[in-house]
Amino acid sequence: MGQLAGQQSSIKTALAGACLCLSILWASASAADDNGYAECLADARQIADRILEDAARVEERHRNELDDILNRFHRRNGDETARDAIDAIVQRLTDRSSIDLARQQLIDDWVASVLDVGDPDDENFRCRESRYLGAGSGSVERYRTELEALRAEISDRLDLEKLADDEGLVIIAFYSFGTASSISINRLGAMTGGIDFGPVNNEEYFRVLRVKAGEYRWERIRQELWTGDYFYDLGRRNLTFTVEAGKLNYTGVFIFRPSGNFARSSLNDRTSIVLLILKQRFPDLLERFELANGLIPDDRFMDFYLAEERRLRAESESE
Amino acid sequence: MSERLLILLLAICLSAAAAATEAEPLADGNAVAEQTAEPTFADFFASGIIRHATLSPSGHYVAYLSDRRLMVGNAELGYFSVWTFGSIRVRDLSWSSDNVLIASLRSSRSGESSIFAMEIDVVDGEPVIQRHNQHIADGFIWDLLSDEDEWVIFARVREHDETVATDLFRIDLFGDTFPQFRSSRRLNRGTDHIFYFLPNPGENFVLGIGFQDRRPQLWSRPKGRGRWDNIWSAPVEATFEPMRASADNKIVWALSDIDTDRVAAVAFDVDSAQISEVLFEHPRNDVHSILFSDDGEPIGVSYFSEGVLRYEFFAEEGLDYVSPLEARFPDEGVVVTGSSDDDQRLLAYVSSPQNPGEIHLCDLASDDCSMVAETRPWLANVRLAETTAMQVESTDDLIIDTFLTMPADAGPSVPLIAMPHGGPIGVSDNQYYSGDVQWLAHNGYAVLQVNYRGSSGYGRAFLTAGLREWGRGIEEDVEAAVEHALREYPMLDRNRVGIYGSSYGGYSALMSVLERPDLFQCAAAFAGVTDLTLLFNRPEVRHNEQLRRVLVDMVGDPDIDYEELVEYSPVYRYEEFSRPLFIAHGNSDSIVDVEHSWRLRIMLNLAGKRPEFVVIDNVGHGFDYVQEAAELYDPLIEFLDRHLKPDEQAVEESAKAGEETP
Repeated sequence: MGQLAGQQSSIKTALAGACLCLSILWASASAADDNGYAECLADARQIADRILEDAARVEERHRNELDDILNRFHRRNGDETARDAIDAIVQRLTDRSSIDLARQQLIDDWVASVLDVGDPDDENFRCRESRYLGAGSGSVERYRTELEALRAEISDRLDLEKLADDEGLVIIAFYSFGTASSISINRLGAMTGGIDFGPVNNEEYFRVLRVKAGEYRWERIRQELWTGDYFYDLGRRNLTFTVEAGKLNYTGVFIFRPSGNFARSSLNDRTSIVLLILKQRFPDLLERFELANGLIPDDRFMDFYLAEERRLRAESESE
Repeated sequence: MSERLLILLLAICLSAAAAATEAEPLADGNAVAEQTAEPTFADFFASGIIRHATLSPSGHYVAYLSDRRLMVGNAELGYFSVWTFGSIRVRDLSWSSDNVLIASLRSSRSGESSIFAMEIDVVDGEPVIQRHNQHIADGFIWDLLSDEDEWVIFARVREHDETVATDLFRIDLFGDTFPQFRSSRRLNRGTDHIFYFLPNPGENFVLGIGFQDRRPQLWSRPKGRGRWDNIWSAPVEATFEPMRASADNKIVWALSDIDTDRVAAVAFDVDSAQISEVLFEHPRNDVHSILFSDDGEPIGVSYFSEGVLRYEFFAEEGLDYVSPLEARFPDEGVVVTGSSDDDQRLLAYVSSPQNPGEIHLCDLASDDCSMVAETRPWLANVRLAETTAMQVESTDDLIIDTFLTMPADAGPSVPLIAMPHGGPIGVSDNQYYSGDVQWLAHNGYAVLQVNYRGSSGYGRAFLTAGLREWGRGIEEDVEAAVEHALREYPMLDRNRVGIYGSSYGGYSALMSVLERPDLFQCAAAFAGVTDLTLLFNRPEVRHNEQLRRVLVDMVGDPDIDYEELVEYSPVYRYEEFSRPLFIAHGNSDSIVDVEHSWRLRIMLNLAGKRPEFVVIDNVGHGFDYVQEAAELYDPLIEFLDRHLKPDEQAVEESAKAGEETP
């Protein structure tokens, strides 16, 4: 369970911190007079304990479900030697995620805030615990959602590890300057194997997916508006790309810009921006897979960039 | 449409950028009516507020748009706002009679076109709209029917077999729309291939123009009835722009370069289907327009010479009305935008580099002119920079028009910015007011604009001389112009020369600083092309063979000349850059994708050369609002100051440090 070491460590530290904090406050409360401070603090402790217990349960469940994901992956692939590499991927995704920050803000800061009931010597002391009743559970719920998102990302990433002979990796990049309920990409000449995703809402969508090799076409965008469902048929625009088996396939950046009853869309060549994102988010895929230009195969910029990067790195290392 | 016209269209697409601020209103212009303090960036870049000035048939009334207000009046009455157009864009104004004014409109929201007719009377000394009516219809007014106040002939546009055709309707401006546009009421029949019917003072609907395979075609119906026949098609590579037909429909007067290098005014004989006479050809410049007398005879031409519109008459009556204007405004460019029916009153647009534009109403009989409005009144008290035209000989003996604008308060040593225009084919700079040029000059820079080979207005040979000269002949012309200016104007500091441009101009700046780091100390590009092969990756080009062919003519064929395109692409020569670079791009640019700038940036970063890099959100190939232009120009001026005014920067920084340290 090496991949969880960092996260477990941060959770333990946070628990220890919270306990120490409780002890100090308890000591302070013992000196308090009868302005309700002690009772208030006891209530706050109860709420804080509940938040911490709930957070611990959520984290326990996260660890178990992550174990299940990893076990399923190893069972399916039966490649024990790859465990270290997989652990490294999980660790990198965990490190890169904002889960530690989420834990800090949604749990630890919240607990500290609950326990900060006020000054025991204040004559006008009013217990504020009612402000926190129930709110902690919302905070834990949001933390649970963050952990779920991390697991989903890990699961998606592991899905890319083993390609069948007729499969390749495809980079789907999408800028939405509005909302779309769903977007469909069809595999040409096949009834199945299309790519569907959404909803998207004014966002930059960037995913790497494992798909069958072949030619694909951006087909349709569905928008749900209060006046009903609208469909933008993209098929006649012939926005196509190719996926080569065994390769990491660049397919351009799809841009969707709705405006009133109209929408503009285009499939643009944004090689350099995609390269930058790949280097940040999928450096291991970039190392392991040959990058293919599925949008404009004749364009040589991608190869030029990668070759120059290798050359400059080699030159720098030799110095 | 001719092949050349397509090239021009594409070139115009590659040239919008910062200069586009001139073409459309910049809605958030913060300009003030009376200049009291130091002029601001917005003062220079806000579009002129006066548009579509038009003179009534008698010459007694002028109508114009001031921002969104419709103004009507004259010198005696004064000018009054009679209507305000909210989000509707006014495309044109025209008088049908002395009291019926028509506005052609387009809705910014729905894109719907319409014409808006207003009956205007003077009540208690003030023009007032008595009634109005709107017809929703795509098209244009083909004939104002000067003898019928409330009727016009409207050309309604429709698509037919991937071409555009027009149908003509005689409409009552104040009547109901729909019954009048019934197809049964069309004035034309069997004209699916005709886009424009040539007007003449006699019988109409005898000659028409259509386009097939990008070539203009002349259609005729000899006796004014029966079947229309295609009697002639223009050659593919030629310009042929018919303007009017003679009263007997035997002659078509047109602008053409079929028999000449420069676009000339020609007479085309309909019976023999050939050009029968070249009425006027300028030794250096293309004819811009043909001027006609009231009875429809050609009397003169206009053309741009050294960046200013000039008139030349081959009939004496033309001299009568333009000569007094030229005498009255000797150092200004004068464009006659309208005349009364008796040609005694003229509406003239007067401007120069130092005059950002005025509308004058002139009475020839009394030799008197009164100013109707200033297009940028907030600049009235600002001392603008002067522009001088120069002719420079290129290394291969071409004559290159060049315009040098010196800052109004130039000292003994002036830094110079070369500013090649976009395009590169079929676009040119002129001497008229430019916010970009004046703002740079206001910041202390001399600005050099160069009509390098490929620029429009100098004939076919000069235009085509720019094809496939990206990074080669064009940049040599720019360098020759810079060297010439440095020789002729000793106050220009040879050690403080930068180069800045938009679109193709951005490419030119990058290639120039790459090839001549000894001449240029820094370069700045907005929306610049950095990878010639990437031009072919645009979705519009990938899916349009015609557009691709035009681009191949301009740049080269990536299927054949890939290595050559790479050789002249800054991206692939990133290691050669040795001077500071400023790279800016709008991230919604659909003409030159922001990928161009990103490619150059990531290559430069690989080599540890970090350019100044600005991506402007929601900006396309040009600017719609002053604030957007400021997002480019604020960091650009800082960049230029840092590299071309290092001493002044040091003085300023030391002064700041002095202020901060007690």
